[in-house]
Amino acid sequence: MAQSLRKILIILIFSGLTYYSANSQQFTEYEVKAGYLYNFARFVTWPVSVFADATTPIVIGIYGNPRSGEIIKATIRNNTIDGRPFVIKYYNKPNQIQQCHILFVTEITRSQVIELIKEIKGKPILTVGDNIPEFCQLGGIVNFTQQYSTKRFEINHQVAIKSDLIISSKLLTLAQIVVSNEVEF
Amino acid sequence: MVKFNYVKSKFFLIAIYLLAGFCLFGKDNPKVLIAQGEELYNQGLYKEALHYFIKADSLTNNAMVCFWIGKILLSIPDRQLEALPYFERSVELKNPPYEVHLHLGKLYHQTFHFDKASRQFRLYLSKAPKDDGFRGYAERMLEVIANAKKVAGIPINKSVRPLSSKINSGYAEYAPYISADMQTMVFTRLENENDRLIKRFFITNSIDGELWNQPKELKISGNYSITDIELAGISQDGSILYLSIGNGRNNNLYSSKIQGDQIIGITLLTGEINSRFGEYAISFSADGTYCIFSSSRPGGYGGCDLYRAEKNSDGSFSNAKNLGPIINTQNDENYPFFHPDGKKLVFASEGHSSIGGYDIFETELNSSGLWNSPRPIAYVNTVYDDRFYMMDARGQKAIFSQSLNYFPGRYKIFVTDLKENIPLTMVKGIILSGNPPKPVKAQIKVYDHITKQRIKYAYSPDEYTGRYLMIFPPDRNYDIFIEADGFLPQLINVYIPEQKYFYELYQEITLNAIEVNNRRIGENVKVRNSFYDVSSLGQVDSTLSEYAEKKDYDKLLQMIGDIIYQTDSLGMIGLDQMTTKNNKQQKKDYQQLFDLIGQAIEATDNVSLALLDQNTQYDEVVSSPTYYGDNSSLGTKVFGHDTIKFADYILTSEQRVIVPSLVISDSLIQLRKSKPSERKYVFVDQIYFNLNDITILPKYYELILSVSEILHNNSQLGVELHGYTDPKGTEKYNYRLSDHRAKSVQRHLVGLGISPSRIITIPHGIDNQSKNFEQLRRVEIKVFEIRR
Repeated sequence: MAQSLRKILIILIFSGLTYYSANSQQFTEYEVKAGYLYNFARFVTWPVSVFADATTPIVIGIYGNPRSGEIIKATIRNNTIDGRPFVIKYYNKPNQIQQCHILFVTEITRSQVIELIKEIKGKPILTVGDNIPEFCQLGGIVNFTQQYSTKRFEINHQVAIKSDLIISSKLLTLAQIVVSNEVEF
Repeated sequence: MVKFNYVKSKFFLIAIYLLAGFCLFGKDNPKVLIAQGEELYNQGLYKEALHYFIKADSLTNNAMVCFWIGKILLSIPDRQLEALPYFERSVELKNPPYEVHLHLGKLYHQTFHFDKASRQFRLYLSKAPKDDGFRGYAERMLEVIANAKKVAGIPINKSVRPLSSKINSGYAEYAPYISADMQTMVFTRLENENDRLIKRFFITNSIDGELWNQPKELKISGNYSITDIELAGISQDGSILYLSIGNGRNNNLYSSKIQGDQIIGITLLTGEINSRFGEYAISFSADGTYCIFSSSRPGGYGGCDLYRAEKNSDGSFSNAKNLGPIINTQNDENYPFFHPDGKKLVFASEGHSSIGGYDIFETELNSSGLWNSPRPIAYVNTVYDDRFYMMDARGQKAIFSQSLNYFPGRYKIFVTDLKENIPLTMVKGIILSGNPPKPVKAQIKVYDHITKQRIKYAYSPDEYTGRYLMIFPPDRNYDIFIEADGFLPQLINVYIPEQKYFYELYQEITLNAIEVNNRRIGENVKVRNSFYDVSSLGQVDSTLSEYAEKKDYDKLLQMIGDIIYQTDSLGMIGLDQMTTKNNKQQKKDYQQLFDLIGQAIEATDNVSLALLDQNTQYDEVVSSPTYYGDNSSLGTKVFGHDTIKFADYILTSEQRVIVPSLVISDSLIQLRKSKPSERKYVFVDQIYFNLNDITILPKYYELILSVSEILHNNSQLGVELHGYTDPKGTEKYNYRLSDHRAKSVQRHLVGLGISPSRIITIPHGIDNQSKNFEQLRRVEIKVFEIRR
């Protein structure tokens, strides 16, 4: 009797811990970033026109070092949001970027960022910088901050609005809000 | 049915009568047949001889005939054991040759009839002449059989599995040599073509050491006959293949490279490593400074012995020394495998407590630098030859070759799991350059930061894949010196933390030219280190799992209570481990991760996200540009006998804790404050103007764009704009004109997004040089960094 009570107690304790237990597994940087990208797709609304039908996949583009993209791909595959699967595409030239919903920008130079932003400006693409200095100031929408920052990511809400993207207020609450640089080119 | 059988058997009887008649009256006289058989046998035509002997055996009972048949069968692949009944008959008959006891003893041993085998070897010893060359062998076999009887029947609780049929598909597969990461394997295959064994070499790849890809055949380039070549070793990174070439008695060791499906660049190892006698196998220490090899040279303890030799910086070997009587016996010792931890040695021996043929033994260097007594790896050893045992650096798996039971000679490659964890760090890296990044040819040297000792054997990157591999003992600082084609040498410091478990470090080095207007003014090196703690899931609080296993729930509950009280995140790891009991290879649960982030966003719970962030393994990324400038000087460091010149000393273990925007403003202040003498000019060019004009001509737009890009991408750079005019007009007017010209270029740069605070305009007025006036009306652009 005492044994079975203890067992029940253990089960109770463990079930109470499930919320925190994700911490128990250690994830690598890009696995966690994949987790964020997945959730950005949930908390951002695209204009209806970008999806052909209810099963059109959500395309995550990788711009820059493809290695992180591979980890993201492995982490995110087989997941869906409202019946939409994910597709990962790799780009290394701005003009290749078509039919993309989230663009993960990683390890590129500042001038490449400027070139990229110029090309896709106004399109409904959620650009996500991988801790790129002044990514949002240069016209990017989301930028991951570095480890141990007080906020996990920055958001330039102006650019999001201009790109016809609606970002959930919950995401905005968690983000460091950034505005564009004065200089426009 | 019955009738049919009757008819059939009657027909058979008639046929036998006829055959017997033929034999009696024909020329098939047993004596003639035996004589013919012997003649063919002596000519080496064994199969033909066998035909006559078998015919003779059907006609007569002759101990010699049975002996010959047995001997021939022993020489045919896969038919060795068929010799057993012939030898058994031979000893029952009159006057068997005394050698038959030796062969029969051997076959009894191989079929696990140890008592019968002992009896035969004793008979051999009693009958063979005193000077018979195999007496020693028979005596040794009596010891071997005694060893075998001791271990026979002890249950083996390790899983020893043959590799898949992709690998083990020929008549025999042996000599597997694996890289330290167990991702590359070369091996030898014998294929049976008309009872002749044809040798081939193969290479294959794997992710886990268990499932191997379809092997590709390796061809030998150069004038070597494959029959003279055996695989003898492999470098830790799998890039250098060692070969033993010779007639079997006078083999020498060679190094070679694998390129595509070719073994190329076969080069004799020089120095004390090779002798007039045989050298057969070689294994290097992790740092490549010395090796252990096998040799039959005189001065050893008998047969083939293991030796140690040092590798010099010029690639030759010196100071060859026998490993001594603890390792070497009067029988053969061969096929050493020296583990990258620098302590463990595994080798094959026919001596020690072998239970038959070569057996595998392990030993290690003790604290006084001596070898411990070798112990047999019992779960691997069989009465046949067990050889070529190699472990991966992580100590997870071992691969070796041994014969199939009852098929001596049919060697197959086997794998087994090891439970040991060896504290070592493996650095797997790739070196790339260009955009898109491509592998670059480079040399790597590694030094111990404290002792300044060169770790001589740096596994330089493969030219075609850019990949390299290094293995270090942990808790040390290493300086990695990289010389890549077309780039300045770089020195990168890596700290390998102390650890209980095996770590893998993935390193990506990217080299890029920094260009302005297609002119190269510097280069950038970026180092990315990712640590993968392979056994992170195994970092269980041992006390917790202990209680869990013992079902000591009282203690367990108490500990859980303590953990909850402390909200200790490490303890949480322990808890989760227990719920997924011992399932260390468990796949990561990404759904849980996605849900956690989703729930935290839903609840705008910044704390959960911060906790996750703290527990995330981030890559270390360090980027460091170098500008050639006017008089670029290289840094110098001395390591032992080597003086290293390098462009930059890059510390990878320092966290990037500075906020990028702060860096910019800090460096801006520095840029403005710096004196011209502290500035190093990395790029200088001119823009020329029309007479009395400040408009920038369109042909210079590209140059200015290019300058803006370099400033964008390198926040620590500044630019000086020097305005000049020709001597026409007044000094005052020209001074203003030169200022306007400089400001005009400044405006253009600001328009391209460069902060005005990084631009210093300096009007000079009239330039009095005796040049064409067109060349004097100009703005000089000077990009600079502050000297370090």
